[in-house]
Amino acid sequence: MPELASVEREQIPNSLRPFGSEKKSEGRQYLIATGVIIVVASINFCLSSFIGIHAAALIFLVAIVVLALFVGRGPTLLAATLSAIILDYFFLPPVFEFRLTHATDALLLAAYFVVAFVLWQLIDRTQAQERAKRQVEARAKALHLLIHGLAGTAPVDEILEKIIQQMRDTFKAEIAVILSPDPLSHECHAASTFPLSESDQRNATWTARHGCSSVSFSDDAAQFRSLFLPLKTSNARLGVIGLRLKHVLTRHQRSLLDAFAKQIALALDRHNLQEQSEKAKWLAESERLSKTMLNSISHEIRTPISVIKNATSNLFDVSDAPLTASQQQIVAEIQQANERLDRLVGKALDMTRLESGRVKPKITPCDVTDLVHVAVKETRKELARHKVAVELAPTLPLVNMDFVMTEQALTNLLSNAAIHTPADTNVSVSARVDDRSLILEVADSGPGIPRDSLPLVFEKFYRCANAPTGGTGLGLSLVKGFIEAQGGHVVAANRREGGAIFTIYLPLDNKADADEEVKL
Amino acid sequence: MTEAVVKKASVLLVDDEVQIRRLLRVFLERNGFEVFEAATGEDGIGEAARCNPDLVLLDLGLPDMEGMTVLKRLREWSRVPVLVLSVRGQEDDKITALNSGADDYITKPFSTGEVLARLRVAQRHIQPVENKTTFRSGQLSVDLATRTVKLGERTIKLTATEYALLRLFVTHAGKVLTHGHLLREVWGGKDASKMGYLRVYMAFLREKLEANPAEPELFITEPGVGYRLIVQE
Repeated sequence: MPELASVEREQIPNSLRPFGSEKKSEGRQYLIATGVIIVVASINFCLSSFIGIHAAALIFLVAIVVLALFVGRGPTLLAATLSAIILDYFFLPPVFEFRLTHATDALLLAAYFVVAFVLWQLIDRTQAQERAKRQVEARAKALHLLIHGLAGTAPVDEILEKIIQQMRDTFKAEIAVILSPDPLSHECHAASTFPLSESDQRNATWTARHGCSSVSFSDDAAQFRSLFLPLKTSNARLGVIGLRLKHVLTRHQRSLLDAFAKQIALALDRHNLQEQSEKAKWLAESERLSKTMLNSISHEIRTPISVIKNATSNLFDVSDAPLTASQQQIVAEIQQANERLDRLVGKALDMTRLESGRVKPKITPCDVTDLVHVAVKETRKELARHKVAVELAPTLPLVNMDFVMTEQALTNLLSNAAIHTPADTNVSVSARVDDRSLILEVADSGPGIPRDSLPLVFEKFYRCANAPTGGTGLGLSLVKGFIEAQGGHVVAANRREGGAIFTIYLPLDNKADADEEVKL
Repeated sequence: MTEAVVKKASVLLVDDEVQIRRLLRVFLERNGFEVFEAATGEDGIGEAARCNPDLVLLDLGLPDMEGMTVLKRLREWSRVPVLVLSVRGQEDDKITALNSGADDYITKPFSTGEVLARLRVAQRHIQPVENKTTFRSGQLSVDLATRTVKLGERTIKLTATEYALLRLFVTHAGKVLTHGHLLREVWGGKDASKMGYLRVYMAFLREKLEANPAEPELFITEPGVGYRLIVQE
């Protein structure tokens, strides 16, 4: 203990040195010890004829004891040695000779050393205890200040500014904070007081990645200059705090620093959680709003569309005299426009729903044959003037996917083909599996997609320059949305033999939803 | 079908859109129905109690209360067939409506012909089905008493599960059966993990009973909701 304590003392910066340790420098202490012993020796020499040798010896002992209170071990031992020599040479008979004639004299001299040593030990122990108490107090005070600063609901930036100021005062170091688990790609927080060098950045990254406050790492790698600690809790890695030090931290400071880092991480984590819960609340509210909006829009717009659809279709049934050809033509135009309007509204609503992230795919085992058939049936009217061929692999497994989304994607591809290819051309739908995906293909024999449009066809509202009217510009982006929501992807290409081909890839290893998540 | 409309059947329209009500009234009256109207859920429940209609057409989006609430309150005291008007993309609402006692749903924008067809199917369910032990639809005929299934003149052998599934469809012919309903009745548990069985057995049934299994005309898939056995004349 004592050795350690003395080493520590040397390393503690002045500001942190505990009370009672502000000792004079070693050299001065030796001088004082020597001086005191010489003065005591002189006084003793004058008085020895009156008080006797033994009293003089006691006075020396008192001097050593008193000295031990004020000086270190070395000077005390020096004082003891000096006293012993002086006593032996000048006082104990034979005087002026280094010779002990009585065993009691030797015992007396030995007692000097023993007393000096024991005293020193006792005093040092008390002092060490005092120091430790002070350190604990200082640590508690620093932590208290820190926790006080961390509490409350002030914004993170404000809190960090306060903390960094406090840490600078406590550790006499420059502080940098990076609030990211990946320090390489993130700037230091604005409140940081030193810029990271390149090697600092490497160290910070290492600390963030391994999540441990490795002293040896930082100390060795940065020559006792920069020290990085991870800011982490049991379930989150929040970033790194770095210290640029002019001195080596003591054990106590290190443990205090660890406690600081832990408290800061906890506070940041709490802050994040609070933010998340607020965000969740906000999201729930906006979700409720968007659901209400969607419901009322789809209700409000679809009602008049329904009315038009019914009114026009009833014209044929209700009218007592048959309609003339031109009247029929007009009614057909109204019906066609109404259907187009309905499709547009439907697609716009689908798009809004997809983009709001509100629709979650309902993943269940699905029969691909059935799915393809439903899509083909759905578009039968639109593709009435095309030759549609369905090619299904002979044994298709059940595939985990969202039936409605995939069917809608396929339906959109088919009606896309209906719009963009001339009548009487071929449209083929095929389904097969490879070892990783279900592959659904819609191929047409139309004009194909212009080369520079290929990468853009899935963009919202993108329409090829040569596109005929009737499309909404939303169909293909919906396909992409529906498929990607299920972890798949869709590719557009031109066939070598002419025409466009759209390929949907859906992963075969999608997990079916748990029972309670699905409404059946 | 027309023999079903012997006495004038009455329909209660619960929809807040006056245009829809007017149109449907014209159309339904022309097709021999007596029509009552209600513009709100509260009125709808009141009218249903007052005029005791044979059928109810219920819009799910009502101004004063959720259509679903109207349905549930109606079901507390009445077994009148209820057809729900809903929009595409609200499959969950349709499932909820069907599971809370609606007999069928019609997707907006609907055509009046569709409404008529569905009304007729629902109407047939008013007549006691239990007494009828034979069912015919197209080439398919099922005798529930003797448990024989025929396609034209050919007797078809079904496994126990296939027959249980078919029987369920036959007793609810023309109606949508939700996935949950089918799973519960045939496999004894509304268990999403059993969806695979249902898909596989539907494929088996189509394989055995459809003229072209790849283009089913009897067992129709209602995407995201369930299946329906079509009644062909």
